[in-house]
Amino acid sequence: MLQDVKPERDIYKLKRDIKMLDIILAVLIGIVFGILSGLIPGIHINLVATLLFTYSTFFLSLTSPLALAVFIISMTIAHTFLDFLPSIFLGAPEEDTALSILPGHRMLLEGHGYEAIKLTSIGCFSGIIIAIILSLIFIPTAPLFYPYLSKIMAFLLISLSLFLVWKEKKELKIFAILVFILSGILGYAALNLTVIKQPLFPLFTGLFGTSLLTLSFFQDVKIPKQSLKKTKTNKKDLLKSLGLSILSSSLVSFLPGVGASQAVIASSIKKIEEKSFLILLGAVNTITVLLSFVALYAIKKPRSGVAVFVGKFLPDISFSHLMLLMLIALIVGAIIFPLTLLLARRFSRLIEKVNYRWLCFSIIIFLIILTPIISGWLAFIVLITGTCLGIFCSLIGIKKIFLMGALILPVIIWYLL
Amino acid sequence: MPLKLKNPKTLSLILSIIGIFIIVVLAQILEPKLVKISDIDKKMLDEYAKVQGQVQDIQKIKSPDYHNPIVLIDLKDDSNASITVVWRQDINLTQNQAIQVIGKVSEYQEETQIEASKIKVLS
Repeated sequence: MLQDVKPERDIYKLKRDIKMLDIILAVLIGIVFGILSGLIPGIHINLVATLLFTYSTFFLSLTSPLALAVFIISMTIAHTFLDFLPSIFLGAPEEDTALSILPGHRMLLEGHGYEAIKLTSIGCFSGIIIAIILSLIFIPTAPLFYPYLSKIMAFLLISLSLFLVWKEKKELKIFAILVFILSGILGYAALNLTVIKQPLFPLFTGLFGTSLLTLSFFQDVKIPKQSLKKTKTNKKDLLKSLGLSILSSSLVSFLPGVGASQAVIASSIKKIEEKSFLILLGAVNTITVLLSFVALYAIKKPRSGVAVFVGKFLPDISFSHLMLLMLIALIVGAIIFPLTLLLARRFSRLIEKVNYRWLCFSIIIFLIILTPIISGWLAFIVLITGTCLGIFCSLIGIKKIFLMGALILPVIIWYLL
Repeated sequence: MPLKLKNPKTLSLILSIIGIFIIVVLAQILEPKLVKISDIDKKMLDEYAKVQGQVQDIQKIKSPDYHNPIVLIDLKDDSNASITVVWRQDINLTQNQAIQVIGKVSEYQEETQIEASKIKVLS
């Protein structure tokens, strides 16, 4: 006899999956892990997510897959806010000798490190709200445009790279191409070096971490007294930054290999001020990461490392799941925003007291110790090479985005072959 | 006191090129250890592994995203365990042919698989 079975409605399925206490705990533990991974230089959330997945059998005996996905998104959002603390407070070059200086480092050298963090945090939080609004646009439209986008992906990435070279100063164009190609070959070879684990760790630590820290160490940078004065944010600047972040994130969120460097792309589209750039940087970071979860639902393709793991825990991710994750992101953002400012105030006081040169040196040593633990001994060659290339990029005075060739070029090759 | 190096730009560029050359050479000559298929588990996710065995079944799927087909190879070794090898280029293989595969361990629908980067035909 045939039974009349009604399809289980999405919302009932979600209610069944939710255990409130598990979710609250996942949010809190996620925030703690996000703070730790954000504050420790070199530690990426993908690494924590990989460990979580490796031991998922154990964790799934304690809680539900949804709670693990909530943990990942809470950690990711907290990490995105906190990650700016070490990147702004550490690795600043000596201003007189540095040809290209990151806006956050410039503000730190002017005594406004705290304000720089406040601006990135404003950007991060605004980015969460923007991503929620954008998700409602992308959910119905992404499945329509993505099949066409994937067919021209290599062409888009090549065009984007050429656009960035074109925007570089005339006398530096040749060096931009050189750095892009060299970092591309380095990235391609490192990703094919099958005997090292997590090759992205030594690669990006070298290109963007130890290279800047080494320069700070050699140049004996002096950090001035940091001001904690409240500064006004120009509403016009804020709106301009957020508008550009929507444009750039929407343009490249569905492209692999580009990531949060859209801020640089956006600032290339239209010249913007230093403070606006920091808001933009914060906003694109959260928009990109949240849109990668939208991509996971809408086109079944995770566009970030953490989205890969959420996809593994929630293989049949539903609209209700996605909206719950977005809501969690908003709640975590509201909790982590004041916490980030509190930590930035502490950092501002601490940075005046410590010997900056030796602080940078001890972090270099920490990253050197971490490299064989995470990736194996041979990863040292990747770390050293990445460091040298990062130093060359800084000394020559071209934008750091050209080092992203380490990821963009292998993706172009992958799509072309 | 700041430490000064002579020609730091040239030095960093030369060291980068030497390092890249070494990594390219190492990527060509170094291979991961040969493991039995039965030893592959979740702890090896995202790591590279080398396996060898006999082709049990081959399936070619047209990919909507890439111009090349996706080839799914069912591989069995002498530990009597089998694993799916994913190869994203066209390849001509026959049943019972012995092959050696190097690739990244991944997971699809809770099943461990190998995303092959190199396939060598042994017989």
